[in-house]
Amino acid sequence: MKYEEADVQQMRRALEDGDVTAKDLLRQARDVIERTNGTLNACVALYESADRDADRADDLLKSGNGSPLTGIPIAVKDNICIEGQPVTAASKILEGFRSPYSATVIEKLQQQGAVLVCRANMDEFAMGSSTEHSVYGTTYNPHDTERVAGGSSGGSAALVASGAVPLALGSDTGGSIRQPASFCGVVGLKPTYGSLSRHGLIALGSSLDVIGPIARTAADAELLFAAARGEDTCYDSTVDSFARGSCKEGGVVIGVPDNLDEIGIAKETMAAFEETLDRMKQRGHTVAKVSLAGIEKAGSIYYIIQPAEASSNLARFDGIRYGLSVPGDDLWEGYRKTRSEGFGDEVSRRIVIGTYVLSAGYRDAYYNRAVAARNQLRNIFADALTSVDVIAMPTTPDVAFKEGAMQNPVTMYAEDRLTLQANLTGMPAISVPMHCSGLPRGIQYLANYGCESVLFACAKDTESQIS
Amino acid sequence: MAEDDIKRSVRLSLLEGGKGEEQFADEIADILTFVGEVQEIAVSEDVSDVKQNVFRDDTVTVSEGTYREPFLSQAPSRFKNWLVSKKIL
Repeated sequence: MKYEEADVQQMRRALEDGDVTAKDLLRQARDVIERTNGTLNACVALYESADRDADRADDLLKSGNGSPLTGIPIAVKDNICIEGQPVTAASKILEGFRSPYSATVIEKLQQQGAVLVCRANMDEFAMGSSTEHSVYGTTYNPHDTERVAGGSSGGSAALVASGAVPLALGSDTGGSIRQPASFCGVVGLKPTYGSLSRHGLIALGSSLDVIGPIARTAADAELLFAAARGEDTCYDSTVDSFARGSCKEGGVVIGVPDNLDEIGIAKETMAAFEETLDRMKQRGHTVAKVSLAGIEKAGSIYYIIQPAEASSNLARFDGIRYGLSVPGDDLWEGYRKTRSEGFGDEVSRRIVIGTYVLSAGYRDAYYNRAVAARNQLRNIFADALTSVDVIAMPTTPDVAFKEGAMQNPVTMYAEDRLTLQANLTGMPAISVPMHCSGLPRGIQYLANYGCESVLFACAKDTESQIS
Repeated sequence: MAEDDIKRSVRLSLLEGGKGEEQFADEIADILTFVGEVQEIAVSEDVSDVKQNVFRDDTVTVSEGTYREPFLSQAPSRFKNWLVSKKIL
């Protein structure tokens, strides 16, 4: 078994056969990180607790109590808390902070014997689409190191793509799992809102945030999703009952928005997308056009709601309770100095926008309007999904861009225009690499609430085109 | 709102004309112009009530079953369970 190319099933077989131990896999993960991190900058720090995790995994395996993820190395985005470990959300404002508790998903994975290897780089507070907005610097794409890995879960995607780990946890608020997965040629799932607990995830947009898996294969992503999902008494919006949609005999009906050509997608991406759909048809699926009027306005809706929620969530970082603290002559000056020094430009921009769109006089024009439009968008998608099983779109308009290419914030925001809809509606979506030459491009399938199994089935069929 | 009004408003209400913040104000004004397109979306009356959130329906029908949204129906009991689990109750 070549570690960098092995999937979770192969690793599990090697562990069960006694060919390797969890300690061996951890050592190999660290070797790859040591070899590649100087170029990629995907890993922020190794967890001190990883050796303990590996010992526990080996004990579980010896006693025959292993689960599908026992002994498997996993990277964790730097906004998911592990008790006693540093967590910074790639921000200076959380410098020196150690989490007093573990996120629910972390507890679930540790109970199942997973080995949490390292903290993965990200855009500061998950605000960005390139991992350029990180206090640790840019994460580069393993397929072309002049280009970005995407974001905000760029570190997680690059670690999986480089072979350092077979699985990583990311978070997705507007495409932050799927976009870097597409750029790095791996699989990324944004689960149904509430299917995984957000307890222990540093909040960005509370009505949009979801934790999800990034993996080499759809089957591996499914394993991590199954292990981490479920009800949580610490977090009231988790859902425990799911409609288990499945691939019907004769395949699924794949809907394609009839206005995709108005969204500014690169010619090469559209060609790969159409070829992928042709191959899906050959595999017995049906492709049909669906009307999704207004999806091109998702950016305007999202970039009101998300900054509004972020400005509220980030108010807690005041220099008193967490991390960085810059003293001032009085309390207010202390707040101002701490926030001025602690927050980067992109975070500052969004806080200002958020407070602005919520302020008296502008709330009706921006925030209230966006909330109503979001409800409408949700209804448009729900209607479309009565006639098709999934909706397919390219994950991103084009391939990974070069570092520094997106200087204008609005241009950067437009990069998310195909992924925001899943977050605004709360529906699950998966990105899987398409069959194409050159840099990776992803196709995204979106399904109705709780229908992740349909997404995994479509993703596996798409993967089989590549292999 | 006209773009110039937005820029003026951003500068006056948020940045107070601070030095070195011209570019920052311009960027924010650009973003506000971009998000201002939300006003071009024709929103029908039945979804304009902002008290309704994205999961306002108790049940959303899907093709093979139902997805139950538990926020409203289960939240009180879950909160009580949580209090018990934390030995607060």
